[in-house]
Amino acid sequence: MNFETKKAETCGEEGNMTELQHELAGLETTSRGVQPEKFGKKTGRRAALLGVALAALFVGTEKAKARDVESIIYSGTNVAERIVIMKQQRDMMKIQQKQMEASIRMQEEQQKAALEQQKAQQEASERYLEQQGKEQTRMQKEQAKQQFCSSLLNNPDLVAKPEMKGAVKRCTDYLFEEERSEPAKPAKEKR
Amino acid sequence: MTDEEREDRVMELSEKIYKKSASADEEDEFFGLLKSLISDLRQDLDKSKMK
Repeated sequence: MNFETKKAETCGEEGNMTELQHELAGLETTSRGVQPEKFGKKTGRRAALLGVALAALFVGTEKAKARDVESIIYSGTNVAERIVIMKQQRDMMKIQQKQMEASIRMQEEQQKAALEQQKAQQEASERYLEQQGKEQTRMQKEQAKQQFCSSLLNNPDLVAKPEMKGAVKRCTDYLFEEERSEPAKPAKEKR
Repeated sequence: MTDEEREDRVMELSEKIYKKSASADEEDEFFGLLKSLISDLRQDLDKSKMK
């Protein structure tokens, strides 16, 4: 039987139902083995729309109940529902994946920030220690110089030597300069 | 007719069919739209298989 003959034999609501049966059976066949992750947004909307329309048809058409159409409409609705559910699951998986990626990114950023903070702290600590070391060396040098000058100036034999004249002057200047640079003592202490 | 227009029309006619208030012409239109919807859906599914 060709399509034209079939169409001529099945006109009106009867014909529509028969054709719909045929289309839905085809859809059910096509829907076997589909991969839900490949559906687009449009497919999901179309399937949902088909589900709604078939449900309305089932409730609103007496003939659907009276004939075998009932089972095929159910089957078509199931196909539509399955496609929609698959799409929803796929969308949910996508959302979960995005959430996971965002969480990983956040963790990475937190780790990076923590590392940068640690590095900055380490650098500050190194700078402080370096500064402390420099200060200590300077003070040690100063102390050694003071000790040398004190022992030199307290030794009259050495002071009397002509070759020590330059050193004596430098030490005198140095100690005198140091005394001048010392902060003025409070009046109470002076008394 | 765009997808959106078809969607609106199918919803409109579905309501009439559900309430048993659709005319014969509207019923024919409804079946026609359903067939085009199923046909597009089959194409979508076929394409998804080929991806």
